[in-house]
Parts: sequence; C-alpha cells; structure tokens
Amino acid sequence: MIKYICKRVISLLPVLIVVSMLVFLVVHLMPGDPARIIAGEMATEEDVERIRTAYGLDLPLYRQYFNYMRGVLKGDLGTSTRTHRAVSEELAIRFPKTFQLALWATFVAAVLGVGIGILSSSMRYSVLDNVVSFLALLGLATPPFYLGLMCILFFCVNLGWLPISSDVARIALILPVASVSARSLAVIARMTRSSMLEVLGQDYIMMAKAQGFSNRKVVFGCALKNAMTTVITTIGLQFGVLLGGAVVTEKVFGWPGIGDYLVTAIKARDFMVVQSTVLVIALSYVIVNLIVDLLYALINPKIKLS
Amino acid sequence: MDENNTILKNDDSLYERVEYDPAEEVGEIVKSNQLRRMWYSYRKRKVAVLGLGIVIVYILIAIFATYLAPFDPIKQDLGNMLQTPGGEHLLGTDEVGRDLLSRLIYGTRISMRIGLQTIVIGFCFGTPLGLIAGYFGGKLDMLIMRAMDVLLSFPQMLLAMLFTSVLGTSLDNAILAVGLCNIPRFARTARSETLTVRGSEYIEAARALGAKNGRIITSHVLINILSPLIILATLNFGNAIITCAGLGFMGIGAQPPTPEWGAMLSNGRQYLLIAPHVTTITGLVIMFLVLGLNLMGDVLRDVLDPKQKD
Repeated sequence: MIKYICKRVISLLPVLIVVSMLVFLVVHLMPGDPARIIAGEMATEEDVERIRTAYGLDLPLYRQYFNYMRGVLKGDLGTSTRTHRAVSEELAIRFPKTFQLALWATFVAAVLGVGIGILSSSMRYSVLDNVVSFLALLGLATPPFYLGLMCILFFCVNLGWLPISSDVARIALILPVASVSARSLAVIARMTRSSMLEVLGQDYIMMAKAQGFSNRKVVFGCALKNAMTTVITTIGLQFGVLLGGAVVTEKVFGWPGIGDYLVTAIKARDFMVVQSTVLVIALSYVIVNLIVDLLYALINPKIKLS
Repeated sequence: MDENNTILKNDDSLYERVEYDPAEEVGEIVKSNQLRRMWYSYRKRKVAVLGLGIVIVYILIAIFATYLAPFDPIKQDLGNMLQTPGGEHLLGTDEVGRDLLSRLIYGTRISMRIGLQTIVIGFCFGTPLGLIAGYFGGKLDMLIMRAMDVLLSFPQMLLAMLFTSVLGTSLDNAILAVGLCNIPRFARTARSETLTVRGSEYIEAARALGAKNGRIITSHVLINILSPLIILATLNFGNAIITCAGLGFMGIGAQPPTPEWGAMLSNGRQYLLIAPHVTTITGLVIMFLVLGLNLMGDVLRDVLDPKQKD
C-alpha cells in the first residue's frame, strides 16, 4: 500500500508542473502591459521601465516562470498589482473559508447522496424512489446561487429562523452548505442508485437472495462495497464542481472566501492574484482527488495489482 | 466473491424460507414486476415528451422573442421601478423599470445561444482530438489525452474564470471560456468510444477494401460514436447554461444591460427583500429549461445507449 501511495504521489508531480505552466501561460496572454498596470495611469515611460525591471517582467517568459515557481515553493505567491498586498497573506485568510465550504458541501452531498441512493435503489419503482428521482432531477437543474437566494428568502425572511449574514454564527453554515451541495447531492444520489441497481442485478446477488438472505444483508453485505467504486470516483470529481459552486455562491451569503477576491482581480486584470489563486485552487483539487484515488484503492484491491 | 461464500456457509437461517410454495410467490413477483416495468417505460415516454415539450417551448420563445416580448427589454422606465407582477407588466418590473417578462424572453435567446455555441466549440475541437487519439493510439494518443487531463484537473468553473480573465468580461468571452472547458469532455468520450469501435469487423472490412484512414474515421467511426456524443451534448447544454449564468452572476459574464439570466439574478439579489419576484421568477425560468434538457438527455441515453440502462 505504501508503495502504491508513493507511486501515486510521484505521478502527481508532472501534472502539477504542467498545471502551473498552463496557468502561468494563460495569465501571461492577458492583454495589457502588466508593468503599466502596476505603475498606474499617471506613470511616465521611465517609471514603467523601472517597474518592468524591478518585477522581472523584462525577462524571457521561461525565466519569469522559474522565478515565479521559486517564489511559490517558498510560499511567496507574488504581490497584488492593485492593492500591493501579498497574495499569500490574502489567500491564507480567504482560501480556507472556500475550502471549508466546499469540503462540508462534499461531505453532506456524499453522505446524504449515497444514503438516499441506496434507499432509492432498494425500493426501486416505489413512491419514494419516484419522489427521490424527481427531486434529484430538480436539484440537478438548480443553479447553486439561485438556491442560496431562495434559501435566504424562505428561511431568513419568511420564517426568520436563521441569521442573514454569516459572520460568526456557526448555524449560518447550514444555508451555504445546503445550497452549494444540492446539485452534487443529486448527482451522487443518481449515481449511487444506478450503480447499486447494476450490482443488484448480478448473479451472485441473485444467489445470495435465493439462499434466503435478508434484503438488508444483501444490500449492505454484498452489494454496497462493489457499487461504491464508481460512486467514490464521482465524489472526487464533484469536489471540483463544489469548489466552483462555492466560489459563485459565496456572494449570496457574503461568505468571506476567494470568490469576491478573484472576481475583483479578474475585472482589474490583477494578473498575479488570478494566477496564484487559480493555482492554489487547482492544487487543492488535484490533492483531494489523489486522496480519493487512494481511498478507492483501499476498497478495491484490484487497483493495486495493476 | 470469496467473502460472500463464507458468509453463506456460516449462515444458519439458510433454509428458513422453503416452508411455503415458492413458485406462487415468484409468479406474483414476476407479474407485479412486469406491470411496474411497463408502467415505468410508459412513464418514461411521457417524461420524454415532457422534456422535449419544455425545450421546444423555450426554442420557440427564443426564435419569436421579438414578437412575443411586450416591451423593450433594455429601455428603462424609472417611474415604474420594481413593480409586482400583474397589471400592465405581467411579471412586474426590475430595479430600473424594465419589463421582466420581456427581459426573460430575450434572455431565452441568449441562453439558447450559450448552450448551442458552447456545445459546438466543445464538439468541433474535442471530437476530432478524441477520434485521432483513439484511432491512431500510441504517442499521439498519450500526448492528446495528457493535455486533456491537465484541463480536467481544474474545476470547470475556475477554468472558465481563468479564461475570462484573459479574454475579458463579456458574454461572448464567457461562452468561449465555457466552450473551451467542454473540449476535454468531448475528447474523452470520443476517444473511449473510438477505442471500442476501432477493432470492429466493419472497420476491418473497410480497411480491406482500401479505404484511407481519413475516410474510415469520418464515415465509419464518427457515425458510430455519435450517439454518446449527442447524449453528452444534451446533458452539457444545461450545464453550460448554469455555468454561464454563474459567470454572469459574479459579474464576469454578460454585462448590463444584456438580459442574461445570471446577470439578472445578480441585479435582483440586491432587491431580494423588497422585490423577491425578480429573483424568484428568473431562477425558475432557468430551472425549467435545464430540467427539460436533463429529462431529454436521460431519455436519449436510455434510447440511444442501451448499455447504460439502469
């Protein structure tokens, strides 16, 4: 197992390098001269040139990339060209917030989604199954930020149950997590249902049933573990969707994550902020998926052999 | 499997159920299962019609937007701000007095464009890449698929945001960005389907008859892998609309006064407490379209791809 983990971690390195290169390249295709943006509207040609050399923007692109990556490895994510504050400082406060939201949402979507999927598959074509299928379709069609707005309208305004602004109150985590996770919950529930149904149709399940096993034993003892393999991969991929969903939905709840920061940077063409923020998010996504892959190997020993 | 067998051996309650006549029970189960299945497939057909119906209504609205919209979607009327539904303005007005119904109708046109164009971009670039990778294999395959993997190692929303940051904030750029994000999905599906088709006898026959690779790919492989790609396109259509609406909502997609649904939600959000109808109705309009598209996609998958039937 340890050997497998090492192998996976090492195979991750080239991906991370290429991802960082892509982000760097794409951002450097941005129109506009970064040196001029940093210097501001009023700067003279001389000032712009001085800034260009000071920031190393006159170097060839590959040198700039190496300089940037050297900084990243030391924890220096560059300086915002707009506010002149270190990006790492800002991200240290904001990124955990977004990550927390996405992680909670993944957790909720995974637990409820798998649970509902199992229930729905074991009562195929029942009223419950139909209701679940319908709700899942509805959930799939709802943009997370719209769901967030509706949650605020219903729970905070109409019922007055929860506080609108999400400053310290822990209970306020409920609405953001609920609205971010809904779509993924639907995806995971559907996935679990169909993959459970596929497994339940196999011969060995028929065999177990024919021998008089209770339904519960068949579902949890034989089918679940085999059905979970596809579901776990889906959960890993959903984490990315949820990160994106969290970034958009933050605005609805005034959640102090990276969403607002990134959007302002994109509008102001603050290239350092965009570059580093996207890099950090992609990194977290890749790492979460690595963890998911390892979990997958844990329950599916076949993987390790190949 | 081994584990199952050991469970079976250790279980003492193995023969408990043989007391009554199993044939009768089995017969009943089969009968009720058949009935349920028939009802299910009948309902499926109804669901398909419903999904198709919803989508067609939206398409018609998009086509005839100029005739259907009672007011100008852009013209402001500050005397009639934030009116509630009913009266002269059927669905009320927004924060600068624009008729909500007219804006929604024109927004349908925009959303249809978003869906179509993003799919076209994804299909036109992704499918050939996937076809080439799957058909020729080897180093080319590895190169293309690694590149696609890199694109897939970003959350889609973030990749779209990254592209918009380069392209600039506008509706067209948002569409381009989301379309670019679609490329790896189409490439992946096209490749895996090509791999299953590649070894088929009819491909071999075509080759034996002297067909060139280009001809085999376009007239034999592509035709046979179209249905999974169509399913992917239908299911991604709604997804693209939601992603673009998200970009619009964040203010980095369609810019005001464009009546794009996401941007409209973003405006409505500021007046959520005094005029909730703007947000509520706009969101419902998005939901119904995506619901219709997903219903259609689900049924298409069942019809076109019997392998994946649940």
